[in-house]
Order: sequence, then C-alpha cells, then structure tokens
Amino acid sequence: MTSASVLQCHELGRYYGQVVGLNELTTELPGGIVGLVGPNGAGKSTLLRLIVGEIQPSRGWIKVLGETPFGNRELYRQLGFCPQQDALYEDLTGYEIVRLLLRLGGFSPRESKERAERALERLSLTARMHHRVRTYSKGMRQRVRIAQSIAHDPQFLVLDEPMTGLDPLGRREILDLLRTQGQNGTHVLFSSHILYEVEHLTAEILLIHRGRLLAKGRLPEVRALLSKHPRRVEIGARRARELARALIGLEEVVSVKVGRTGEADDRLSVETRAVGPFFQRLNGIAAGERFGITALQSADASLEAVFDYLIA
Amino acid sequence: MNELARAAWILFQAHLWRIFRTRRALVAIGLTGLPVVLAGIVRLALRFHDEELPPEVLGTFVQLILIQTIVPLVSLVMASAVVAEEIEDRTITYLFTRPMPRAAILVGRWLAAALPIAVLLCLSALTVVQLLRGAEPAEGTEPWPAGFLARILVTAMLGGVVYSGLFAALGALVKRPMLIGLGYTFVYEGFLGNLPGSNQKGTVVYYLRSFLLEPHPDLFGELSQELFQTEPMQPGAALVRLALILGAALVLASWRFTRREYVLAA
Repeated sequence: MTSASVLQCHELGRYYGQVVGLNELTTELPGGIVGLVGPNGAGKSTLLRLIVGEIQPSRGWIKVLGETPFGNRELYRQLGFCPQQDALYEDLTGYEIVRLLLRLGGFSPRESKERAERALERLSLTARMHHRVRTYSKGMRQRVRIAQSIAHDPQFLVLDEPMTGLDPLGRREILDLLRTQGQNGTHVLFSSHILYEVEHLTAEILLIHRGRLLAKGRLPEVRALLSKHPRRVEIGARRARELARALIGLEEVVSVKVGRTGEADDRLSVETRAVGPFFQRLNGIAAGERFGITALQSADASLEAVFDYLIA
Repeated sequence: MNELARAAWILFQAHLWRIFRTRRALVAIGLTGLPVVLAGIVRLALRFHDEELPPEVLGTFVQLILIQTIVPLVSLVMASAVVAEEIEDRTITYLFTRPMPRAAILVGRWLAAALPIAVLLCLSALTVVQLLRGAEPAEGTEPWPAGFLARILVTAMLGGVVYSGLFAALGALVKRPMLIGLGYTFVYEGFLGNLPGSNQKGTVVYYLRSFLLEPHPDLFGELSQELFQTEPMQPGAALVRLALILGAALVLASWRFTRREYVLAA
C-alpha cells in the first residue's frame, strides 16, 4: 500500500453483535472521485462511518489520509462528512448550523460567517438560510447537510447517499457541485445504491455487497468482470426434461441441470451469461410449447445479480 | 486545554438559549414551581390560623422539599439529556467529526444546562423563603440571622450545579440516564442520605446539608437533627467535597465519552 492513498483498509471488519456490517475489506483508494455502490444493507454506511471515525473497526485496520480516524482531531480538519441520517438541529436555521460547526472547526466568528454564507449560496440556500430547518423541505435539509460538509474546504469529502431527498434538478446541482469539488483537488467518496447517479459523476467505483468488497475499479472494467460470472435461474416445470432440451441449445445458456424435487413437477437449474435475453427467449419458448412451467426465480445473489439490481 | 475551553464555550453559547425551547425546560419550570405552590399553601394555612411559622419548619422545608427533592429532580430533567439528546437526535455525528476534544461537548452542553438550572432553583428558593418567612420575623421571635437567605440560595444553586454535573455525566455513561437518575435520587440519595450514620457522607445531599446547616444550627438545628440526624461538616470542607464529586464525575464521563463509540440508526 502506498502512503499517498486517501484510504487504506486491511481486513477491515465491523460487526454489530451477530450482524456483519463489513467483513474482511482490504482495499486502497488513490483519490479523486469514487462512488461507493451497493444495495441497501450492503455495508456502505458502515464503511463511511469507519472512515470518519464515528465507529471503530471490530477487526483489521483503516487509515484515512494516512491516519487512524477514530477521535483523530487533526484528521477532522481535512475531512468533510455528510451523514445519511436526516438529523439537524431543528430549532436552528441552516445558517446557524453551518456557522456553529465552522466555529467548532476552529474558524473565527467572521470567517465562519463568510464561509457559512458562501457554502449555503453554493447549495442555493441563500434565500432560506435564516429560516429554521424544521420548516425546510427534505431536499433543503439535505443541502444543509452537504453545506456543512464542504464549508471548511476539506481535503477529503465523504458523503453518504448525498442525493437522497433531492428532485432531479437538485440531483444535477449536487452532481455538478461534487464534480467541481473533485476538479478543485478535493477527494470525494460518495455512496449510492443507484448506479445511474454514480455513472454521471465518476467511472471509479467500489462495489460492496453483504459487507464484502465485490469489485473495485473503473465502471467498464467492473461491468466486464461481472459479465463473466453466469447467473443461475431456477425453473419449476411439469415437463422439465423437454424444457431442458429446448434450452440447452440457446447461446445465452451455459448449463442446464434437471433434478426431481416434487411429485408434480421437476426443477431445472439453468446457468446463463445474459439473464435479460435469456428471459426473453424463455418467454417465447414458454408461449409456444406446453412445458408446464410452474415456477421461475433467480436463485443466487451472484455479482451480476447484484449488478442487475444496481442498474435497475 | 485551550481547545477544550474554546469549543466548550462555543457550545455553551449555542445551547444556552436552545434549552429553553425544550419540553424538558417546561417540566423543570413546573418542578421548581411545586415548592412555591406548597409554600403558598403553608403560608395561607398559617394566616388562616393566625400563627407564625417556626423557623425550624422553614429549615426543614428547604432541606426536605427543595434541596433533597426538587434540586436533584430539576437537575436530572435538564442535565441528563445533554449528551443523550445529541445521540437520540443523531446530531452527535456533526460534533464528533469536528477537530475538537469530545469532552468539550459534555462540558459545554452541561454548562448550558447548569446555568438555567441554577437560576431556576435560585428563583424557586427565593420565592419559597419569602413566602414562608414573610417580610419580617414575628414579634417576640428571634430575628433571622444575617446571611441565612443567601446561604439557602447558594445551597440550591450549588446543588443544581453538582447534581446537573452528575446527571450530565450519567447521560454520557449509560443508555437510560433518566431511569437510573431517578433511582439514584430517591433510592440512593433519599435513603442513604437520611439514614443515621457516616454513610450519609457518601451522598451529595449530606454536603449540601452541611453547607446549609452548619453556620445556622439554631435555625436549622433541632428539628433537622431529629429528622436527619446529620452531623454537618464545616462548610468549606463540604464545598471542597462537592467540587471533588463534580470534578470526578465530569472527568470520568469525559474520559469514557472520548473513547466510546455511538452507533446511530440511519
């Protein structure tokens, strides 16, 4: 691992009692803009909380800008964090919140004022910044959370689902803002379960699922890597052997296994490289022939299945 | 140390007025009003029977109702939530990711609660004494000793500061500070503090009582002696003990708070 890395993790694990939040994650991020993608519950927030030192690893270690993050005051000067939870001081205004957090960050009253105004202006909140946040819409609250994370010009910006609650225009604004941050030399790591959003901002992704790192790198490379892994589809049919014969010749199908599981029907286990075209073909076959298909399900959570979920 | 003081001061300023916008403040105001209402009833009853209040009854009322019950309860309501509130509201993330000592959160927010607590208790004690004592002592009775009112007010405020520090610390250490604080107030302080013997020295109320009783044994003496069987220590020594209890609680809680992680719901 290189010392210039923004983030280094080695066998990083975090458990919540019996629940695995993150498991054996070893990776290194050189910097730039990186999207942390994975379905809900994949462990994205756990990783981000470990990065900002809100929680500590159960095992392994993590370094952010070369430092151990938990309780590291010096690191926090260089770190900006936008949490996922919709939590703000409800009785304060957006301006008061950002200014207070800047004051706690060590800035003078005057500089805090200027920086707070500037950050809120960048988030298009100037007109409402002196209203209490309890009167804000979900999108405006999200903007306040982002504003406090960028107001001190951090070197490394960490955002947990920053597009949550924003309308399409707001999403575009935030994407533009993050892109500008990245162009200005800030390292940005942001999580999303919507791959479409990530693609608009960066090609660099970190894909995690069930607490494990599935893939890392540029999006086309990850896509190519994932496409090599066949996906399993389980089919229940009364005339399974005949169906197997019909399927085995299809170019999308890698293998077909027939196994008797019940009295009324047999079960087919089909491995396919391209699940979309396969289902289209299956539709055609099922409509034309009488195989008595009784059940159909994607049986495993393979890489492609996860990827399909992400791009859905 | 400078960073801690600076951050604590900023948090104190930010949260001082916020505390009055909370439901807890309303409950605390209600609690401080209770002894005032009780004192008013006593006053009316005395006027109805055309009697004057024996000074010892005032002393006992102040000790039993105000110092032993209202002071810890108000402190518990206001102070136990100073850290717990940030955790429950999930706003602690913002504070934890600032370049400041975590202890500043506890200290700053405790101070922002302690000041209103002290003011509320002072006002409550002042009103209670004025209601019970009347404008002047009755004819033929001993005049009120000099400085006795100030002593009661200082004791109430002192109690508020020490108990609020204890309960703020409790909030940083345990998950259900209110429940444990109620148990502590009524079971530990209430029971141990009134049980005859040296065990009283294990309670905050003993030192508050010492500070209150010792200079005015005539005023608070006999009835209090019978009721609490307290042998008060010197006020100066009591003050030192109270300062030590407060300091130890805050240092312990700060140490734990700095090392503990809080897993917040998303």
